Amino acid sequence: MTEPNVPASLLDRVRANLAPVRPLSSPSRRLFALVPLVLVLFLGPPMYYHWRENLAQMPGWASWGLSALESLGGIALMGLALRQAVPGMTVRPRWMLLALASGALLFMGVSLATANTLPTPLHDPDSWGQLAWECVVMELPFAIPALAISAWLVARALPVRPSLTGAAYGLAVGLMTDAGMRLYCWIDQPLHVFVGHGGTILIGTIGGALTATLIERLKYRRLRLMRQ
Amino acid sequence: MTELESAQAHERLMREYQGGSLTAFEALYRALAPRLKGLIRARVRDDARASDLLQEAFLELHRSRHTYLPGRSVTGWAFGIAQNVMLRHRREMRRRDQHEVSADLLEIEDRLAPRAADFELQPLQDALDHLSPDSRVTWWMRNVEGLSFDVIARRLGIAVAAARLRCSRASRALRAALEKGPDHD
Repeated sequence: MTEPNVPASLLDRVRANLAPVRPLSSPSRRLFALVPLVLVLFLGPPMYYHWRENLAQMPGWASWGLSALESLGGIALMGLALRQAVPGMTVRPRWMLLALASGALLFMGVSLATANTLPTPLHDPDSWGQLAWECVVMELPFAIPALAISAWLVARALPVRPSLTGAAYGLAVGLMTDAGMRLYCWIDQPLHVFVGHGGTILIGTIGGALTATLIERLKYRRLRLMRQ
Repeated sequence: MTELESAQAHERLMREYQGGSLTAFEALYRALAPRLKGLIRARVRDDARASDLLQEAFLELHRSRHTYLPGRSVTGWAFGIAQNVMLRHRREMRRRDQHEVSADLLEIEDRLAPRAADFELQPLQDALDHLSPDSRVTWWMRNVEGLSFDVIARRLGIAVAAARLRCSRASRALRAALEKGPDHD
């Protein structure tokens, strides 16, 4: 069987840009590089806004333990997103969806366990909407830069399904931010946590999916221009 | 050459390619192109389009050569990139099909317009105007162009059952509108 020759047009394009490249670090190494970010998201909200008033009344497993668990869930999802972005290392979409569902369930489990351990009802039930909105606004300054860093890390590779990959890192950022935020926010009422904190996680997930899709479209457009 | 030796040779070539060797790229092309072409041909029947996609895959492979992690399978990595290109192609085709459906709809509207001047068709035109664009185009394809539900479903990118349902609902709505007379709204 004769071996195919490289088409001249392709060879010209390759020759035009053949500068040596440094291989991407492995997903686990890139995940390791994100440790400072994880710490900022974990400790940033309570240190910046203040530790929750009833922290001393909570058992250690419910405060630090559940926050650490949520953060670990976020790290696992982030690792999956970084892995998913490398060609040849992708996992099936159904496993990605399962991972996303597990992340959402982890958040719900942590929130319900906290509410069960130390129920803190709202003093003024009419203001739940305002309090939930405040939590969203307070989480976003931490979540947005983290989302931008994750988007950059993933965009350096080549995600096959950008929306799923983006949703995974968005959810990861949301979980890690909530892990810190729940050490500041003393309200454990499920309605507040699901709307306020869950709202931020949802914004992160949708924002991640949209960002990754948009970036890949722009990259694709550049490729098409390169071909013309 | 055994499979292991071949994998090691590919990895060595890939490292040289990442280091800026054109010869290594050419060797990799010769080694990978037939397999990638096979993968693409399994999904795209048109040979010219398959060749085009193969070239696009290699262009993407070149642009993303930094994403190859030393020690991993070069073939798996290249297949991943080809899969990415195929998915993009599929999405693009789907978008193009949707545009074509819109164009079909416009064409049908154009064809209907002159006939509407005909007195006998005016009530039908009025009734058709009350249908949603999707229902109108489905009904037209079925009842005027005489297309099968399979073809309609393919052209509109929907399930056959959905095409059937859309058409029967459109017919019912038209019948009701025509029975109601010209004053219906």
